[in-house]
Amino acid sequence: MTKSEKKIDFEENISELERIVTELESGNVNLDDALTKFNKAYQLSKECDQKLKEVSESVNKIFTEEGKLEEFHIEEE
Amino acid sequence: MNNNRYITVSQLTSYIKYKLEQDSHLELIYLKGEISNFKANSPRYSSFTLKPAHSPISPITFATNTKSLTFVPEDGMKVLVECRIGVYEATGNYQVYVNDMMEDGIGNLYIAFNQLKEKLEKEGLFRAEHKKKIPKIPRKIGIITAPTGAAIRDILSTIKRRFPMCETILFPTLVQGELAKDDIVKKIGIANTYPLDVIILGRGGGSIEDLWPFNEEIVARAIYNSSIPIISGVGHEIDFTISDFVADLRAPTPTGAAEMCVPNRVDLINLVNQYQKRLVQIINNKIDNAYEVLNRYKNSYVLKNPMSLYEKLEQNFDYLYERLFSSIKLIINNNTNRLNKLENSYVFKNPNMLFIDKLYNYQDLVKRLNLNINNIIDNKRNNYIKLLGKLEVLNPISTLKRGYSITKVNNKTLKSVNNINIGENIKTELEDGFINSEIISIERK
Repeated sequence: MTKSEKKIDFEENISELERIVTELESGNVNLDDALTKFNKAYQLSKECDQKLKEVSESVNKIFTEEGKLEEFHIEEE
Repeated sequence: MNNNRYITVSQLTSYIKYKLEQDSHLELIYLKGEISNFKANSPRYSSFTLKPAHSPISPITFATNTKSLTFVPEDGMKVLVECRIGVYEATGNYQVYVNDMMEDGIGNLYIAFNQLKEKLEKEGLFRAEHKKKIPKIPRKIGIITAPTGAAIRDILSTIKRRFPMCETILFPTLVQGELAKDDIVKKIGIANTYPLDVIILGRGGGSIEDLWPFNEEIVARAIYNSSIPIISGVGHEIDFTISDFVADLRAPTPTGAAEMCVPNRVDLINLVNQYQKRLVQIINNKIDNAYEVLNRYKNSYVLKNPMSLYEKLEQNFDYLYERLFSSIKLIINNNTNRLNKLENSYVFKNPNMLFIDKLYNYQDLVKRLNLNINNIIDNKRNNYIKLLGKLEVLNPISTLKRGYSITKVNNKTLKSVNNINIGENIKTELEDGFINSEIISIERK
Protein backbone atom coordinates (compact mmCIF):
# COMPACT_ATOMS: atom_id res chain seq x y z
CA MET A 1 0.00 0.00 0.00
CA THR A 2 1.25 3.39 -0.88
CA LYS A 3 1.54 4.73 2.64
CA SER A 4 3.86 2.04 3.82
CA GLU A 5 5.72 2.11 0.52
CA LYS A 6 6.22 5.81 1.04
CA LYS A 7 7.48 5.14 4.52
CA ILE A 8 9.93 2.55 3.30
CA ASP A 9 11.09 4.89 0.60
CA PHE A 10 11.71 7.75 2.91
CA GLU A 11 13.41 6.49 5.99
CA GLU A 12 15.18 3.68 4.20
CA ASN A 13 16.20 6.01 1.40
CA ILE A 14 17.89 8.32 3.83
CA SER A 15 19.59 5.41 5.59
CA GLU A 16 20.71 3.96 2.28
CA LEU A 17 21.96 7.39 1.25
CA GLU A 18 24.00 7.69 4.42
CA ARG A 19 25.31 4.18 4.01
CA ILE A 20 26.49 4.76 0.46
CA VAL A 21 28.09 8.10 1.29
CA THR A 22 30.00 6.58 4.19
CA GLU A 23 31.09 3.67 2.05
CA LEU A 24 32.32 5.96 -0.73
CA GLU A 25 34.13 8.17 1.75
CA SER A 26 35.98 5.20 3.12
CA GLY A 27 37.79 5.10 -0.19
CA ASN A 28 37.74 1.36 -0.68
CA VAL A 29 35.54 1.49 -3.75
CA ASN A 30 36.92 1.18 -7.25
CA LEU A 31 35.97 3.74 -9.82
CA ASP A 32 33.30 1.75 -11.66
CA ASP A 33 31.47 0.77 -8.52
CA ALA A 34 31.87 4.28 -7.20
CA LEU A 35 30.16 5.73 -10.24
CA THR A 36 27.30 3.27 -10.02
CA LYS A 37 26.81 3.90 -6.34
CA PHE A 38 27.11 7.61 -6.84
CA ASN A 39 24.34 7.56 -9.40
CA LYS A 40 22.11 5.51 -7.16
CA ALA A 41 22.75 7.70 -4.15
CA TYR A 42 22.28 10.92 -6.06
CA GLN A 43 19.03 9.57 -7.39
CA LEU A 44 17.89 8.73 -3.87
CA SER A 45 18.85 12.15 -2.64
CA LYS A 46 16.87 13.82 -5.38
CA GLU A 47 13.83 11.72 -4.55
CA CYS A 48 14.10 12.57 -0.88
CA ASP A 49 14.65 16.21 -1.65
CA GLN A 50 11.62 16.25 -3.89
CA LYS A 51 9.38 14.57 -1.32
CA LEU A 52 10.56 16.88 1.40
CA LYS A 53 9.84 19.95 -0.63
CA GLU A 54 6.37 18.81 -1.55
CA VAL A 55 3.99 21.29 -0.13
CA SER A 56 1.62 19.11 1.74
CA GLU A 57 -0.90 19.72 4.37
CA SER A 58 -0.67 17.38 7.27
CA VAL A 59 -3.59 15.03 7.35
CA ASN A 60 -5.22 14.94 10.73
CA LYS A 61 -7.89 12.44 11.62
CA ILE A 62 -9.85 11.63 14.71
CA PHE A 63 -11.27 8.37 15.98
CA THR A 64 -14.91 8.91 16.65
CA GLU A 65 -17.18 7.32 19.19
CA GLU A 66 -18.76 5.29 16.43
CA GLY A 67 -15.40 3.74 15.76
CA LYS A 68 -14.74 5.56 12.49
CA LEU A 69 -12.01 7.88 11.33
CA GLU A 70 -13.04 11.34 10.37
CA GLU A 71 -11.19 14.46 9.42
CA PHE A 72 -10.17 16.47 12.38
CA HIS A 73 -9.70 20.19 12.58
CA ILE A 74 -8.28 21.74 15.66
CA GLU A 75 -10.51 24.34 17.20
CA GLU A 76 -8.80 27.65 16.90
CA GLU A 77 -8.21 29.44 20.15
CA MET B 1 18.31 50.87 88.46
CA ASN B 2 20.94 53.38 87.45
CA ASN B 3 23.76 50.84 87.73
CA ASN B 4 22.31 48.53 85.11
CA ARG B 5 23.44 48.39 81.56
CA TYR B 6 20.86 49.94 79.25
CA ILE B 7 20.35 48.93 75.69
CA THR B 8 17.96 50.00 72.97
CA VAL B 9 15.00 48.05 71.64
CA SER B 10 16.78 47.51 68.35
CA GLN B 11 19.77 46.12 70.18
CA LEU B 12 17.41 43.83 72.00
CA THR B 13 15.85 42.77 68.70
CA SER B 14 19.27 42.18 67.22
CA TYR B 15 20.15 40.00 70.13
CA ILE B 16 16.90 38.06 69.85
CA LYS B 17 17.53 37.63 66.11
CA TYR B 18 21.01 36.42 66.78
CA LYS B 19 19.81 34.01 69.42
CA LEU B 20 17.01 32.58 67.35
CA GLU B 21 18.98 32.25 64.14
CA GLN B 22 21.88 30.65 65.93
CA ASP B 23 19.79 27.97 67.52
CA SER B 24 20.33 24.73 65.63
CA HIS B 25 16.90 23.46 66.59
CA LEU B 26 15.35 26.30 64.69
CA GLU B 27 17.35 25.68 61.48
CA LEU B 28 15.05 23.00 60.15
CA ILE B 29 11.50 22.57 61.33
CA TYR B 30 8.58 20.64 59.95
CA LEU B 31 5.14 22.17 60.44
CA LYS B 32 1.66 21.09 59.65
CA GLY B 33 -1.32 23.36 59.30
CA GLU B 34 -3.91 25.06 57.18
CA ILE B 35 -3.05 28.00 54.92
CA SER B 36 -4.75 31.30 55.51
CA ASN B 37 -4.18 34.82 54.21
CA PHE B 38 -2.20 33.58 51.28
CA LYS B 39 -0.87 36.50 49.28
CA ALA B 40 1.38 36.29 46.24
CA ASN B 41 2.97 39.61 47.06
CA SER B 42 5.39 39.55 44.17
CA PRO B 43 6.48 37.05 41.55
CA ARG B 44 9.17 35.99 43.93
CA TYR B 45 7.70 36.41 47.36
CA SER B 46 4.48 35.06 48.82
CA SER B 47 3.29 35.10 52.39
CA PHE B 48 0.66 33.33 54.40
CA THR B 49 -0.03 32.17 57.87
CA LEU B 50 -0.67 28.74 59.18
CA LYS B 51 -3.61 27.90 61.37
CA PRO B 52 -3.92 27.08 64.19
CA ALA B 53 -1.70 29.99 65.04
CA HIS B 54 -0.48 31.51 68.20
CA SER B 55 -2.47 34.62 67.81
CA PRO B 56 -4.75 35.70 65.03
CA ILE B 57 -3.93 39.29 65.75
CA SER B 58 -0.25 39.26 64.95
CA PRO B 59 0.07 36.15 62.91
CA ILE B 60 3.42 34.57 62.27
CA THR B 61 4.23 35.22 58.69
CA PHE B 62 5.43 32.47 56.44
CA ALA B 63 7.51 33.63 53.55
CA THR B 64 8.14 31.50 50.59
CA ASN B 65 9.73 31.72 47.16
CA THR B 66 6.69 31.69 44.85
CA LYS B 67 8.66 30.15 42.02
CA SER B 68 9.63 27.11 44.01
CA LEU B 69 6.02 26.19 44.74
CA THR B 70 4.96 23.01 43.01
CA PHE B 71 1.29 23.78 43.47
CA VAL B 72 -0.91 26.83 43.90
CA PRO B 73 -1.52 27.36 47.57
CA GLU B 74 -4.99 28.37 48.58
CA ASP B 75 -6.52 29.42 51.80
CA GLY B 76 -7.94 26.45 53.56
CA MET B 77 -5.43 24.05 51.98
CA LYS B 78 -3.79 21.69 54.44
CA VAL B 79 -0.05 21.72 54.01
CA LEU B 80 3.18 20.16 55.22
CA VAL B 81 5.93 22.74 55.54
CA GLU B 82 9.69 22.43 55.82
CA CYS B 83 11.07 25.70 57.12
CA ARG B 84 13.54 27.63 59.21
CA ILE B 85 13.13 30.47 61.67
CA GLY B 86 14.34 34.00 61.23
CA VAL B 87 13.70 37.36 62.83
CA TYR B 88 12.44 40.28 60.83
CA GLU B 89 14.29 43.06 62.57
CA ALA B 90 12.05 45.87 61.47
CA THR B 91 9.09 44.49 63.32
CA GLY B 92 10.84 42.34 65.86
CA ASN B 93 8.60 39.48 64.83
CA TYR B 94 9.92 36.08 64.09
CA GLN B 95 9.28 34.80 60.64
CA VAL B 96 9.12 31.40 59.13
CA TYR B 97 11.06 30.93 55.89
CA VAL B 98 9.64 28.06 53.91
CA ASN B 99 12.12 25.74 52.14
CA ASP B 100 9.57 23.33 50.81
CA MET B 101 5.87 22.85 51.02
CA MET B 102 3.43 20.28 49.86
CA GLU B 103 -0.22 19.53 50.25
CA ASP B 104 -1.00 17.35 53.18
CA GLY B 105 -3.29 14.87 51.46
CA ILE B 106 -0.71 14.75 48.71
CA GLY B 107 1.72 12.92 50.94
CA ASN B 108 -0.34 9.81 50.49
CA LEU B 109 -0.26 10.18 46.75
CA TYR B 110 3.50 10.50 46.79
CA ILE B 111 3.79 7.39 48.86
CA ALA B 112 1.55 5.50 46.46
CA PHE B 113 3.58 6.85 43.56
CA ASN B 114 6.86 5.65 45.00
CA GLN B 115 5.45 2.28 45.93
CA LEU B 116 4.11 1.64 42.44
CA LYS B 117 7.31 2.92 40.86
CA GLU B 118 9.37 0.51 42.96
CA LYS B 119 7.06 -2.36 42.24
CA LEU B 120 7.05 -1.87 38.48
CA GLU B 121 10.76 -1.21 38.40
CA LYS B 122 11.38 -4.51 40.18
CA GLU B 123 9.23 -6.24 37.60
CA GLY B 124 11.46 -4.74 34.95
CA LEU B 125 8.86 -2.60 33.20
CA PHE B 126 11.23 0.33 32.98
CA ARG B 127 14.17 -1.62 31.57
CA ALA B 128 15.95 0.01 28.66
CA GLU B 129 16.20 -3.25 26.72
CA HIS B 130 12.43 -3.43 26.52
CA LYS B 131 12.01 0.03 25.08
CA LYS B 132 11.11 -0.01 21.40
CA LYS B 133 12.93 2.12 18.93
CA ILE B 134 11.07 5.18 17.73
CA PRO B 135 11.18 5.37 13.92
CA LYS B 136 13.20 8.35 12.78
CA ILE B 137 10.74 9.34 10.08
CA PRO B 138 7.24 8.24 11.03
CA ARG B 139 4.45 8.65 8.51
CA LYS B 140 1.45 7.70 10.65
CA ILE B 141 1.24 9.04 14.17
CA GLY B 142 -1.34 8.22 16.79
CA ILE B 143 -2.13 10.84 19.44
CA ILE B 144 -3.88 9.95 22.68
CA THR B 145 -4.92 13.07 24.57
CA ALA B 146 -7.87 15.31 25.18
CA PRO B 147 -9.51 16.54 21.94
CA THR B 148 -9.49 20.09 23.22
CA GLY B 149 -6.97 22.15 25.06
CA ALA B 150 -3.41 23.25 24.70
CA ALA B 151 -1.91 19.80 24.48
CA ILE B 152 -3.51 18.64 21.19
CA ARG B 153 -3.15 22.12 19.74
CA ASP B 154 0.55 22.26 20.50
CA ILE B 155 1.16 18.74 19.28
CA LEU B 156 -0.58 19.26 15.94
CA SER B 157 0.96 22.65 15.33
CA THR B 158 4.44 21.32 16.13
CA ILE B 159 3.99 18.42 13.73
CA LYS B 160 2.61 20.69 11.04
CA ARG B 161 5.52 23.07 11.47
CA ARG B 162 8.22 20.45 11.47
CA PHE B 163 7.01 17.65 9.28
CA PRO B 164 3.64 18.10 7.63
CA MET B 165 4.02 15.13 5.35
CA CYS B 166 2.56 12.67 7.78
CA GLU B 167 -0.84 11.60 8.95
CA THR B 168 -2.08 11.90 12.51
CA ILE B 169 -5.00 10.11 14.13
CA LEU B 170 -6.31 11.48 17.38
CA PHE B 171 -7.80 9.03 19.83
CA PRO B 172 -9.56 11.44 22.18
CA THR B 173 -9.52 10.45 25.79
CA LEU B 174 -10.25 11.73 29.26
CA VAL B 175 -7.05 12.92 30.84
CA GLN B 176 -8.09 13.47 34.44
CA GLY B 177 -10.59 12.18 36.89
CA GLU B 178 -11.56 8.73 37.97
CA LEU B 179 -12.70 7.52 34.56
CA ALA B 180 -9.54 8.68 32.79
CA LYS B 181 -7.37 5.65 33.46
CA ASP B 182 -9.80 3.20 31.88
CA ASP B 183 -10.35 5.49 28.93
CA ILE B 184 -6.61 5.84 28.34
CA VAL B 185 -6.13 2.08 28.49
CA LYS B 186 -9.01 1.60 26.05
CA LYS B 187 -7.59 4.15 23.61
CA ILE B 188 -4.13 2.60 23.72
CA GLY B 189 -5.76 -0.68 22.80
CA ILE B 190 -7.69 0.83 19.89
CA ALA B 191 -4.62 2.69 18.65
CA ASN B 192 -2.73 -0.58 18.51
CA THR B 193 -5.19 -1.89 15.94
CA TYR B 194 -4.09 0.75 13.47
CA PRO B 195 -0.89 0.59 11.42
CA LEU B 196 0.76 3.46 13.27
CA ASP B 197 4.48 4.12 13.43
CA VAL B 198 4.36 5.75 16.85
CA ILE B 199 1.90 7.00 19.49
CA ILE B 200 2.11 10.21 21.48
CA LEU B 201 0.47 10.00 24.88
CA GLY B 202 0.12 13.55 26.07
CA ARG B 203 -1.48 15.84 28.60
CA GLY B 204 -0.95 19.43 29.64
CA GLY B 205 0.35 20.60 32.99
CA GLY B 206 -1.52 20.12 36.25
CA SER B 207 -1.30 19.10 39.84
CA ILE B 208 -0.26 15.67 40.95
CA GLU B 209 -3.92 14.84 41.35
CA ASP B 210 -4.64 16.05 37.81
CA LEU B 211 -1.85 13.94 36.40
CA TRP B 212 -2.77 10.96 38.55
CA PRO B 213 -4.32 8.84 35.78
CA PHE B 214 -0.86 8.66 34.24
CA ASN B 215 0.45 7.12 37.46
CA GLU B 216 -2.11 4.32 37.48
CA GLU B 217 -0.91 0.75 37.24
CA ILE B 218 -3.30 -0.31 34.46
CA VAL B 219 -2.15 2.61 32.31
CA ALA B 220 1.49 1.71 32.91
CA ARG B 221 0.85 -1.89 31.89
CA ALA B 222 -1.11 -0.83 28.83
CA ILE B 223 1.84 1.33 27.76
CA TYR B 224 4.25 -1.55 28.43
CA ASN B 225 2.19 -4.00 26.41
CA SER B 226 1.67 -1.69 23.47
CA SER B 227 3.28 -3.09 20.34
CA ILE B 228 3.51 0.38 18.86
CA PRO B 229 6.16 2.57 20.47
CA ILE B 230 4.78 5.26 22.79
CA ILE B 231 6.25 8.69 23.51
CA SER B 232 4.99 10.08 26.78
CA GLY B 233 4.65 13.87 27.09
CA VAL B 234 2.75 14.56 30.26
CA GLY B 235 2.62 17.77 32.25
CA HIS B 236 5.51 20.20 32.56
CA GLU B 237 9.21 19.61 32.39
CA ILE B 238 9.47 18.87 36.09
CA ASP B 239 6.59 16.41 36.15
CA PHE B 240 7.54 12.78 36.16
CA THR B 241 4.80 10.22 35.98
CA ILE B 242 4.92 6.42 35.93
CA SER B 243 3.89 6.65 32.28
CA ASP B 244 7.08 8.57 31.61
CA PHE B 245 9.17 5.78 33.08
CA VAL B 246 7.47 2.93 31.29
CA ALA B 247 7.06 4.65 27.92
CA ASP B 248 9.53 3.97 25.13
CA LEU B 249 10.55 7.61 25.21
CA ARG B 250 9.83 10.42 27.65
CA ALA B 251 9.28 13.98 26.55
CA PRO B 252 9.08 16.87 29.01
CA THR B 253 5.85 18.23 27.52
CA PRO B 254 3.34 17.41 24.76
CA THR B 255 5.14 19.84 22.47
CA GLY B 256 8.40 18.13 23.34
CA ALA B 257 6.80 14.81 22.47
CA ALA B 258 5.85 16.07 19.02
CA GLU B 259 9.37 17.45 18.53
CA MET B 260 10.94 14.14 19.44
CA CYS B 261 8.41 12.31 17.31
CA VAL B 262 8.96 13.92 13.93
CA PRO B 263 12.10 15.22 12.33
CA ASN B 264 12.35 18.75 11.15
CA ARG B 265 11.77 18.95 7.44
CA VAL B 266 14.31 21.73 7.06
CA ASP B 267 16.93 19.64 8.86
CA LEU B 268 16.23 16.72 6.57
CA ILE B 269 16.48 18.89 3.47
CA ASN B 270 19.81 20.18 4.72
CA LEU B 271 20.96 16.68 5.49
CA VAL B 272 20.07 15.48 2.02
CA ASN B 273 21.80 18.48 0.49
CA GLN B 274 24.85 17.71 2.57
CA TYR B 275 24.86 14.19 1.29
CA GLN B 276 24.55 15.44 -2.24
CA LYS B 277 27.51 17.76 -1.73
CA ARG B 278 29.55 14.99 -0.21
CA LEU B 279 28.66 12.63 -3.01
CA VAL B 280 29.67 15.10 -5.65
CA GLN B 281 32.86 15.86 -3.77
CA ILE B 282 33.74 12.22 -3.41
CA ILE B 283 33.08 11.37 -7.01
CA ASN B 284 34.99 14.40 -8.25
CA ASN B 285 37.91 13.44 -6.08
CA LYS B 286 37.78 9.93 -7.37
CA ILE B 287 37.67 11.09 -10.96
CA ASP B 288 40.50 13.54 -10.40
CA ASN B 289 42.56 10.84 -8.81
CA ALA B 290 41.80 8.49 -11.65
CA TYR B 291 42.88 11.15 -14.15
CA GLU B 292 46.04 11.72 -12.23
CA VAL B 293 46.87 8.06 -12.22
CA LEU B 294 46.04 7.79 -15.90
CA ASN B 295 48.24 10.73 -16.79
CA ARG B 296 51.04 9.40 -14.73
CA TYR B 297 50.91 6.19 -16.68
CA LYS B 298 50.41 7.96 -19.99
CA ASN B 299 53.47 10.01 -19.28
CA SER B 300 55.49 7.11 -18.17
CA TYR B 301 58.71 6.59 -20.01
CA VAL B 302 57.68 3.23 -21.29
CA LEU B 303 54.44 4.34 -22.86
CA LYS B 304 55.99 7.41 -24.42
CA ASN B 305 58.92 5.43 -25.76
CA PRO B 306 57.61 2.00 -26.43
CA MET B 307 60.74 1.27 -28.45
CA SER B 308 62.55 1.42 -25.16
CA LEU B 309 61.13 -1.99 -24.52
CA TYR B 310 62.97 -3.26 -27.54
CA GLU B 311 66.09 -1.28 -26.79
CA LYS B 312 66.85 -3.32 -23.83
CA LEU B 313 66.29 -6.53 -25.70
CA GLU B 314 68.33 -5.31 -28.59
CA GLN B 315 71.12 -4.36 -26.29
CA ASN B 316 70.95 -7.71 -24.68
CA PHE B 317 71.02 -9.37 -28.01
CA ASP B 318 73.97 -7.34 -29.27
CA TYR B 319 75.82 -8.02 -26.11
CA LEU B 320 75.18 -11.72 -26.24
CA TYR B 321 75.99 -11.85 -29.92
CA GLU B 322 79.32 -10.16 -29.35
CA ARG B 323 80.12 -12.42 -26.53
CA LEU B 324 79.24 -15.39 -28.63
CA PHE B 325 81.31 -14.10 -31.51
CA SER B 326 84.36 -13.32 -29.47
CA SER B 327 84.03 -16.58 -27.62
CA ILE B 328 84.05 -18.51 -30.84
CA LYS B 329 86.94 -16.48 -32.18
CA LEU B 330 88.83 -17.18 -29.07
CA ILE B 331 88.16 -20.86 -29.33
CA ILE B 332 89.22 -20.93 -32.94
CA ASN B 333 92.36 -18.95 -32.17
CA ASN B 334 93.20 -21.16 -29.31
CA ASN B 335 92.79 -24.24 -31.37
CA THR B 336 94.71 -22.79 -34.27
CA ASN B 337 97.52 -21.95 -31.93
CA ARG B 338 97.51 -25.38 -30.53
CA LEU B 339 97.52 -26.83 -33.97
CA ASN B 340 100.41 -24.63 -35.01
CA LYS B 341 102.26 -25.50 -31.91
CA LEU B 342 101.78 -29.13 -32.60
CA GLU B 343 102.71 -28.82 -36.23
CA ASN B 344 105.81 -26.96 -35.32
CA SER B 345 106.76 -29.21 -32.58
CA TYR B 346 109.95 -31.19 -32.88
CA VAL B 347 108.17 -34.40 -32.51
CA PHE B 348 105.71 -33.59 -35.28
CA LYS B 349 108.50 -32.66 -37.55
CA ASN B 350 110.64 -35.61 -36.57
CA PRO B 351 108.25 -38.33 -35.98
CA ASN B 352 111.03 -40.93 -35.86
CA MET B 353 111.85 -39.24 -32.57
CA LEU B 354 108.96 -41.09 -31.17
CA PHE B 355 110.40 -44.45 -32.03
CA ILE B 356 114.11 -43.69 -32.38
CA ASP B 357 114.57 -45.41 -29.13
CA LYS B 358 112.68 -48.32 -30.37
CA LEU B 359 114.72 -48.21 -33.53
CA TYR B 360 117.91 -48.30 -31.58
CA ASN B 361 116.52 -50.91 -29.45
CA TYR B 362 115.50 -52.89 -32.42
CA GLN B 363 118.80 -52.50 -34.15
CA ASP B 364 120.50 -53.38 -31.02
CA LEU B 365 118.34 -56.40 -30.56
CA VAL B 366 118.93 -57.47 -34.17
CA LYS B 367 122.62 -57.17 -33.66
CA ARG B 368 122.51 -59.11 -30.53
CA LEU B 369 120.21 -61.58 -32.09
CA ASN B 370 122.57 -62.09 -34.96
CA LEU B 371 125.42 -62.31 -32.62
CA ASN B 372 123.67 -64.76 -30.48
CA ILE B 373 122.45 -66.80 -33.37
CA ASN B 374 125.91 -66.93 -34.80
CA ASN B 375 127.22 -67.92 -31.47
CA ILE B 376 124.66 -70.57 -31.11
CA ILE B 377 125.30 -71.81 -34.62
CA ASP B 378 129.03 -71.81 -34.00
CA ASN B 379 128.49 -73.63 -30.81
CA LYS B 380 126.30 -76.09 -32.42
CA ARG B 381 128.70 -76.53 -35.30
CA ASN B 382 131.51 -77.08 -32.98
CA ASN B 383 129.42 -79.48 -31.04
CA TYR B 384 128.54 -81.23 -34.20
CA ILE B 385 132.00 -81.44 -35.37
CA LYS B 386 132.99 -82.73 -32.02
CA LEU B 387 130.25 -85.21 -32.07
CA LEU B 388 131.04 -86.04 -35.59
CA GLY B 389 134.57 -86.74 -34.54
CA LYS B 390 133.37 -88.82 -31.72
CA LEU B 391 130.99 -90.50 -34.00
CA GLU B 392 133.83 -91.17 -36.46
CA VAL B 393 135.67 -92.77 -33.74
CA LEU B 394 132.72 -94.73 -32.62
CA ASN B 395 131.78 -95.65 -36.15
CA PRO B 396 132.13 -99.33 -36.47
CA ILE B 397 133.35 -98.83 -39.96
CA SER B 398 136.24 -96.81 -38.58
CA THR B 399 136.79 -99.61 -36.20
CA LEU B 400 136.77 -101.94 -39.10
CA LYS B 401 139.37 -99.76 -40.60
CA ARG B 402 141.47 -100.33 -37.65
CA GLY B 403 141.29 -104.07 -38.11
CA TYR B 404 138.39 -104.90 -36.04
CA SER B 405 135.53 -107.01 -37.41
CA ILE B 406 131.89 -107.53 -36.68
CA THR B 407 130.62 -111.05 -36.41
CA LYS B 408 126.97 -111.80 -36.89
CA VAL B 409 125.11 -114.96 -36.55
CA ASN B 410 121.70 -115.02 -38.11
CA ASN B 411 122.07 -111.31 -38.59
CA LYS B 412 122.46 -110.85 -34.90
CA THR B 413 125.75 -109.44 -33.70
CA LEU B 414 127.84 -111.86 -31.76
CA LYS B 415 129.04 -110.40 -28.50
CA SER B 416 129.82 -113.46 -26.45
CA VAL B 417 131.36 -116.93 -27.11
CA ASN B 418 128.55 -118.35 -25.17
CA ASN B 419 126.19 -117.37 -27.85
CA ILE B 420 127.74 -119.63 -30.42
CA ASN B 421 128.27 -123.26 -30.98
CA ILE B 422 130.67 -125.31 -32.92
CA GLY B 423 129.61 -125.88 -36.35
CA GLU B 424 127.45 -122.73 -36.67
CA ASN B 425 127.92 -120.46 -39.56
CA ILE B 426 128.96 -116.95 -38.89
CA LYS B 427 129.31 -113.93 -41.10
CA THR B 428 132.20 -111.64 -40.40
CA GLU B 429 132.32 -108.12 -41.73
CA LEU B 430 135.72 -106.62 -42.54
CA GLU B 431 136.37 -103.13 -43.83
CA ASP B 432 136.28 -104.18 -47.38
CA GLY B 433 134.00 -107.26 -47.33
CA PHE B 434 132.55 -110.27 -45.66
CA ILE B 435 133.89 -113.66 -44.52
CA ASN B 436 131.69 -116.62 -44.13
CA SER B 437 133.01 -119.15 -41.58
CA GLU B 438 132.25 -122.14 -39.70
CA ILE B 439 133.10 -122.54 -36.06
CA ILE B 440 135.68 -125.10 -35.46
CA SER B 441 136.53 -124.51 -31.94
CA ILE B 442 135.76 -122.10 -29.06
CA GLU B 443 138.20 -120.69 -26.60
CA ARG B 444 136.97 -118.97 -23.61
CA LYS B 445 138.90 -116.15 -22.01
